[in-house]
Amino acid sequence: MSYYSEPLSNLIKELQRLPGIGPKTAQRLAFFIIEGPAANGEKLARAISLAKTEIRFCKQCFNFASDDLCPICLNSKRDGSFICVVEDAKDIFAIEKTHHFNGLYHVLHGTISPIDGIGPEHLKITELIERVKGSPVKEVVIATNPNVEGEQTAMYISKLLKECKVKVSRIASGLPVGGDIEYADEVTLSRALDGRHEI
Amino acid sequence: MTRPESEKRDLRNFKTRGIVLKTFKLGEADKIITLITEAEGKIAAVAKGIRRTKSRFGARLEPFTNLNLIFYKGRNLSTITSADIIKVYDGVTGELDRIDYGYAMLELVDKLSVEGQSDPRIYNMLAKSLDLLSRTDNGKRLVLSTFDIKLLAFSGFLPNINECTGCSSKTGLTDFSFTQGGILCKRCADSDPSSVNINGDTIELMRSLLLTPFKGLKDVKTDTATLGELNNIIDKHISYHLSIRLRVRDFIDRQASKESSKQRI
Ligand SMILES: [Zn+2]
Ligand SMILES: [Zn+2]
Repeated sequence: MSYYSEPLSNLIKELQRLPGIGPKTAQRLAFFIIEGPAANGEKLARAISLAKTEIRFCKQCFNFASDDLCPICLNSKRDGSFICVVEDAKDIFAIEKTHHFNGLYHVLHGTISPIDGIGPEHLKITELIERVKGSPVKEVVIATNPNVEGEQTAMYISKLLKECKVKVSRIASGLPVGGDIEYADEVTLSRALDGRHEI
Repeated sequence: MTRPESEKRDLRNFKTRGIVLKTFKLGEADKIITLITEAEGKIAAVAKGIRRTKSRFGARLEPFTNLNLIFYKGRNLSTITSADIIKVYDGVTGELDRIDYGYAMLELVDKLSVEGQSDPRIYNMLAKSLDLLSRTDNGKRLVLSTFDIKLLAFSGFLPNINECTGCSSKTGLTDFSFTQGGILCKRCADSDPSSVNINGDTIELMRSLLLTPFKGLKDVKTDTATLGELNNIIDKHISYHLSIRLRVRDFIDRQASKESSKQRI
């Protein structure tokens, strides 16, 4: 019982699933797509389907990649002696925007959360330890979110890395506790990276 | 009887103290915060905009935080409109084993409490237990076990540790039955295939943890084997009677078995 023909109401329904998109916005976007040139609509559809089929995890850092390695791991200008550990690939983009870090990353894909039954074995932690062992890595900077789960994950990783004879540091408390790194502004995040401390 | 207009409006706002049990991301920037409160029992409420780094709530609505709160009663969920810290149990969150035991407490409160039923003793005991856990160096596990037994008693889930659950005998108590929910004498245990052996010291420890106030815990003498048996039986009793898996306790067990297998190698 819709005023729209089925293909249109389908498009609105699918757009509405996207984060931050309410019914009004979904309707506006759908009309924009339909009223625009056919080629644009096809380009958008192809970009979505290509991204879904081509994107996989980087074999080294578990960032999104279209090859075995992501563009950051492939970049020979990056300093392989620093690894910044983040919860989520989205955090890489937040940190890259600061232009304050020239090392490599390691994406955990979550945090330890005993209450949700998520243990270290569900995250890319073993992979991190294996990666650091016997590598030229000098410092691991742990940039998990400044909340209870992020801190617990940082403590756990640093305990495991103690055996690897590598410097382990935690980004500074300049970040407001409880906020997500993903939403931090560049200035705050740069300061947090500069003021990291050894743990 | 009709209330004056001003008082009616005030009914939608309520104030109480509470401890954050867990949080859950909602949409882009909000979170649902589950708390155990003093006046209203367990409450799940929305904290708006909390994940933005400039949020006025900041770190305040994280697990292991005790707060003075004001809620606004919505049609479905309440909203947290004000939150002032009473105490952050950072002694708990600053160390890996303490944090696991702390989470085990939060999970048990969450699982045993039902929204809409209030019991100020639960809030008060959780506050006391977290405070003690953050200060205790020896006997951290004992703090959790004491908490478990007292909370089971408050919630009506305490196993019968007084006398034989079958025949009320006060002596010759050798077994624990999960199906009958309590201790058994040798004779009754023979006809209950679900029963397991329990040491006399373990029964004594359960009784003494139930009766000892937290401040007297340092005087409770026990050993690892007795405490281990108690924990094992209590955890199984909880899963049996609530038909739930306690994820944090599974997590603690998994970590412990990983540690011991590492030491063996
Ligand atoms: Zn990579
Ligand atoms: Zn009996």
